[in-house]
Amino acid sequence: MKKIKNTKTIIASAALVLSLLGACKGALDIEPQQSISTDKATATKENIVNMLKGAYGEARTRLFSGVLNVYADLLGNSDQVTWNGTFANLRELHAKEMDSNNASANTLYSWSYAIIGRVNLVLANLNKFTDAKEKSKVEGEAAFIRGLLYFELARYFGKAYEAGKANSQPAVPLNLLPPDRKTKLKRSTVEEVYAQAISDLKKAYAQLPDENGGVFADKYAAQAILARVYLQMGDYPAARAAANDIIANSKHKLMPNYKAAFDSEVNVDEYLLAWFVNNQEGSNNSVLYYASQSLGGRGGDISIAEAYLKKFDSPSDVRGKFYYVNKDLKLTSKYTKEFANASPIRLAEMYLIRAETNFREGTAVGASPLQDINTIRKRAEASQLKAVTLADILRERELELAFEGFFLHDYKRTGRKVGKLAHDDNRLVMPIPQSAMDRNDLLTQNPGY
Amino acid sequence: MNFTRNDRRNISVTGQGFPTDEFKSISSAAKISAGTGEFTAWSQLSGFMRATYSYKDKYILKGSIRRDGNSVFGKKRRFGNFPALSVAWRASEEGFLQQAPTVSDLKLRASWGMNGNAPTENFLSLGLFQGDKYNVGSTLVPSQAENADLKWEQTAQINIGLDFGFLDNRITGSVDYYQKNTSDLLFPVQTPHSALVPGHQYQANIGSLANKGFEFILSTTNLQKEDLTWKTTLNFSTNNNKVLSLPKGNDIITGRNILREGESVNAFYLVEYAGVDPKTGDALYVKNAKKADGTLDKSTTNKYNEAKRVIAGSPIPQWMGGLTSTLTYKGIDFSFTLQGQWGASVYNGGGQYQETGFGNGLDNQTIEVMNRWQKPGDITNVPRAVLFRNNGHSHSTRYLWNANFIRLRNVALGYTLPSKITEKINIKTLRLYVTGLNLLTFTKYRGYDPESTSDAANRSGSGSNANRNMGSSFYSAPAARVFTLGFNVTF
Repeated sequence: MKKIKNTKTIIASAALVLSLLGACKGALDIEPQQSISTDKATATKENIVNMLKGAYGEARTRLFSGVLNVYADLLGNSDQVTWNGTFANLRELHAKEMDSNNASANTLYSWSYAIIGRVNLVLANLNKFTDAKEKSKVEGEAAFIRGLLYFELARYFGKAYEAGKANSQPAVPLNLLPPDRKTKLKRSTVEEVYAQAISDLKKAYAQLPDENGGVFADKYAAQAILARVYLQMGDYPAARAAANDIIANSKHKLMPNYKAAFDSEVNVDEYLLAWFVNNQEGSNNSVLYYASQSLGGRGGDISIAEAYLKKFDSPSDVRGKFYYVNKDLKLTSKYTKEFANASPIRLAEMYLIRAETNFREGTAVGASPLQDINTIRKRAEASQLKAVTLADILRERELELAFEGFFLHDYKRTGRKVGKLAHDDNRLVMPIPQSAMDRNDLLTQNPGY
Repeated sequence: MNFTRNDRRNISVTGQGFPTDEFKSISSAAKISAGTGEFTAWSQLSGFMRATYSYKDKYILKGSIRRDGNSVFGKKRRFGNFPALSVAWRASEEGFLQQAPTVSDLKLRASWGMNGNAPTENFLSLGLFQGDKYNVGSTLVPSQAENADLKWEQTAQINIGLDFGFLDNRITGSVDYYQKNTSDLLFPVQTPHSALVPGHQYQANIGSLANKGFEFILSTTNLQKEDLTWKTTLNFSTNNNKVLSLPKGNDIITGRNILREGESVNAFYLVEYAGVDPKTGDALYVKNAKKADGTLDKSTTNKYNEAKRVIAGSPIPQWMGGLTSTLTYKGIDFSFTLQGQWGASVYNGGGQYQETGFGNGLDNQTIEVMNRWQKPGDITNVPRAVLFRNNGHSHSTRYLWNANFIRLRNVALGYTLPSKITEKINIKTLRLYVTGLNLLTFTKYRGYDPESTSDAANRSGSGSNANRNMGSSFYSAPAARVFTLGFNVTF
């Protein structure tokens, strides 16, 4: 009898404990206060707008603070710069000896997709907007960021786009949907990724206002990236039209002197877009790698080589002396303010694109190639030319746009050697990062890695 | 029943420019320069029952069950049930052994139990967004991917052991065999970047693994005289760990560590270094590509990118042991502890700067670089030095080093003054001593220290979990060698 009683007591107390646990279950619901859940983050249009701005912020911090420009300058360097730094990933870019663990390739790859995830989530939640105009603008900005990132991914990780060819060489996976951990994609072709970039940027152009504060994408920022994309593809008429549209129709103007086109803490007239940096947020990585320590850099990780200075043909050209000497290193004067807005897209580039494409097409849309080149040279106080060749125009690009992230892409598209390497050498294409290969067995590695 | 809730809130405000040091409140600062506020919390709700049954102190049976709910898991997955059972037999209480003069204690025991492990990061199952800024405005950025199915990691442990004491407990010790099977392993699963998941990973319960081994402790009183005692404690343990299953049997690679079914947990996964080509001084790697017949191509190449990775060792030691000995003679006491471990490797992540012949920057080099290849015919393992060029410093087994060691962990020598003397100055005891920590290390490990590893060096991307990148060192400071001189006083 006693035994049974014990058993009853045990069962009763067990039931009591279980019911109490059930009753107190709510005490395990704790909402974070420093973060909000995905459901809440996508619930209102205000949050969606904030998410879009978050994508700008991360795109700035991770890639467009000058980081990508430095990659192109180092990997594309023939004899223009000298690498004096200690970062192994950047040294490997400069030496053209990346392996699949290269941290720069990993940064570009992983952060591009992280940010594409943000903007795809924005694009998937446009139904939160009731005002059609607002919705259209948000969609345009999200498309701008995505188009820009797919363009960068395609040209760093894919073999070069060749005009008139099928371009079936692999670029990167193309995902237009919001984040989903089950997604596993193979690499799309260079043709497909360029086509997506163009489609996104055209949408941005159509839907964005003429001005949007300078540090957010507007109509002409989208058009400027489109001009770059078309130029990279060798679609000269389209690049010409885009560049001419900006010069003719936007309110942007060349700064009266060369120096004023750089190092601006507020976006100047010449900038089609620059990424916001101040002493509270972001950092200017061009300054970090190009400037002396007293100016907020690492002391000249990248300095100007003599061979670059020899390219100047006019002694009065301010660009030929646009440097300062710090501990025997010649450092560019383009980046001397620690908190200047980063990676500006300058109108000068559009003049150079228009000059080159007009020249290649034998046209004078907007202005003749000679006129455009002389416009750029006049501002730089260089002597005026009487005639130009394609080589003159390409050299002018280099004199004007050096250290702004153009070496690699310009040399590859124009078939010029980068140092000893042919323009289509495998080593001028980044490896698909090992960590990406390890996560996705559908990915194929680039040749040579 | 037990309910625990842990809230952590910290707020900091930084002010600069106080009129004088007497002003100690923040309002007096000329400039409020920074401020932070953080909140985090977790809670756990548990119910448990326990029963013990003992018969004549000879047979002991214990059983318990607990049900735990933790806020960190997915809403429907918060609770787990964890039973445990143990039996013990004190053989020394049996009549036939009570006669045996040499046996003072003998106890045989066995236990089985389930344990639940919860992660230490709160809110781990939620998809989260946090605040950030752009253009002096607030923004939202995702900080963590969601997994509503996140649940308890469970470990089932079996223990069989024997406690013994002989000769009036002058010899005591225990032998244990353990087997721990962990299932629903908590692990940050890496997703393809193009899946666009925040941080490119999510926390999940994946696969299972097993740890088993022996543990052995023996304490002996070697000498016991009026003025003289000498005691020794010896312990060692073995560990054999293995990944049992993974989702779809797929490898999970995180940096230089891998989880692969049938292999040890977080094994190193590296390109195999093959020394130096005597003709050219180029670093060589074993290709290790799978051939058509399934075997590995063991030919070498000087192109790192042509070589495939292989499993190359484990960061977890298979044997660990220690020996402590204490000798006291009158007022003098002397003791030392030796510790050792065998079977683990450490990857020197700094090797690609420290041992590359200035190929990767102007870092101080190890003395090994003196043995580098210099002319055709040189037989060495250190490749030709090329300034600012990579010849052999990509991540490979070149920098994976065996971390076996025996270390004199601790030595202490003390003298306690006779109480006759100290009583005169009203002191009960006065002991003077000198101790040394980490005085001697016997190891072939070439890095700074076989024990100093870093979990920071290999963290990739945002939000990382230290247990994935085990056994790497990156300029990790060695354990300090410490000498202490001191005295203990009791009044």
